[in-house]
Amino acid sequence: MSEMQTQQELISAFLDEEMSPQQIDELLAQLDCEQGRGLVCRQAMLGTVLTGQAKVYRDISGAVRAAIREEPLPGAGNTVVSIFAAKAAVRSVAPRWKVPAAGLALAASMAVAAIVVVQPSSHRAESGALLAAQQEAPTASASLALQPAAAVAQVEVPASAPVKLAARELVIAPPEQARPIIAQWSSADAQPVNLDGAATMPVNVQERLNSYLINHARYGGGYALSGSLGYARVAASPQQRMDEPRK
Amino acid sequence: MLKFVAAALIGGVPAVAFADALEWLQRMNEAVREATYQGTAVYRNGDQLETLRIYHRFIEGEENERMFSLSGQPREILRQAEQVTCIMPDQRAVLTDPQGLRGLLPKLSRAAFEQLRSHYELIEVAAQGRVAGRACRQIQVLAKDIYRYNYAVCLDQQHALPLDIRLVSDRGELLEQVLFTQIEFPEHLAKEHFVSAVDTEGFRHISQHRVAAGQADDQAFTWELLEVPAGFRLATRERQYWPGIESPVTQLLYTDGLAAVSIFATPEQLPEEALQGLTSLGGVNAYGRMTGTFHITVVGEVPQATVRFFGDNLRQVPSQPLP
Repeated sequence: MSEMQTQQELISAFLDEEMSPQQIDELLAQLDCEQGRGLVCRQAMLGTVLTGQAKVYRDISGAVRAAIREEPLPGAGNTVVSIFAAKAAVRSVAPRWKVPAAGLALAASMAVAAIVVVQPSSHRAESGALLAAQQEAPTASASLALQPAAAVAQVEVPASAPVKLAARELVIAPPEQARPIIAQWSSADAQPVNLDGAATMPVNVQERLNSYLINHARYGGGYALSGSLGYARVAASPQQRMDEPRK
Repeated sequence: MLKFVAAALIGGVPAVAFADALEWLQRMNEAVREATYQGTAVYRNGDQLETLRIYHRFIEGEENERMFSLSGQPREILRQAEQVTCIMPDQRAVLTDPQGLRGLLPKLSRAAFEQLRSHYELIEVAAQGRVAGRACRQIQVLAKDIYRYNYAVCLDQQHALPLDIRLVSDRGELLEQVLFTQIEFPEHLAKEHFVSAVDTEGFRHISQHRVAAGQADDQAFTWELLEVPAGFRLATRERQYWPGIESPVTQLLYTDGLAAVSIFATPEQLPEEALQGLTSLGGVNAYGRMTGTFHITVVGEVPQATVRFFGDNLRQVPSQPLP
């Protein structure tokens, strides 16, 4: 039996939910999932996720996470891996933005500044934890399959209790605690963070990033499917009072 | 083998041909421009949810659109043809752009459709979805390499308007989403729906202008990429004066038809204003570095590897002398 035939049989067994966790691990390994960059692996995982086979997804989520946990992004350090590897963290409100004085680009940055604040590096960890938690939870709606609106509106997030993932503990802030303002630039490997977990990315850098973001949305929206998301980024409202414009 | 695996794992849910999915996307392209609709949408970024109200109509060959936030501080965006006005009451500012944002929903070029097959796997899921109480057709756009993200859209069965757009990482993480929770398709929408109720008297009015031909002061060179990820092409090149920056900012926009990447080059940037390395916002990644006396920043709804690729391959080259 050829290797391809073997893999096909394994995949069939996987689809029929006849595989043990160990066998799933072996299949993922064969699909080059250790490297996380194999097209087969990605399409396999995405295909499962995107088509809403939530049960299967839950079944393999642990194995998938284990397989890709330590995968570095090509040329990008370990920033994304940190969503699984980062230590527990409770959200904190980021420092306020200082808004530039005038001008379209800077005013544009205000529009985006509304949705961009200094971001502790733990944010991605939290987001990842949240997603992971949703994937783990029986009632989770983090499956990426297209679902009715109601399903999204009814995201059930463990609010007050820490969520335990395999070998790691992650804390999700309860609603009464300070939550992140809104979408935030995360300080990946770009900037260090202080002991509080607060990013030290200078305000000026973030202001400039906001200008870039909105100008990217202006021109990119006409070409990109994701342009609509950029537009929504601009229109989404802030929960945070911004400082007076600089003179 | 690859096709087998993709098909097999998508397999429990029947998928139909690329051509059918493409036809749906082309219908979507027309619908986002020509449909008249009003609705409420949710923008989701990680665990953040924001609610937006949207009105859109196509009348006398022009698009009118109005979008405003229903939660938090007010934000309003009006679009009449190409002109976009952003009203920010909390900042007491009105931003007017004669060629502004291209609208809430995406419009794809013909070239984009033609390129899709090379870099994305298009899959229409036979099973119907349901969003905002309406039947919709699920289309998945799976990237074939590491340089782009994946998309999932659900198109209204009757009008082909996208009721749900998702940006998904190569690990299956939902990065961002726009989802209608309520939508109607009336025959007409009165013009009153496209007028802001915000009193902007006393607000600052702000605009941005392009660098006119011959006005440039540093045209001895131009920017080029030594190498571009497969499928990406240069779509626009702009030089504009931005308030607060003495020299013009150069923006290069590359797209593969679905994903877009912008490169910004600014001279004389102060070190404290310069991003060094990688950062992200939802599905948007950014990468910054110095090259000579210029700082370049790459921004796009693409993986970190992609923004870094663009940033590391950007070079200054002498401009071609005019004949």
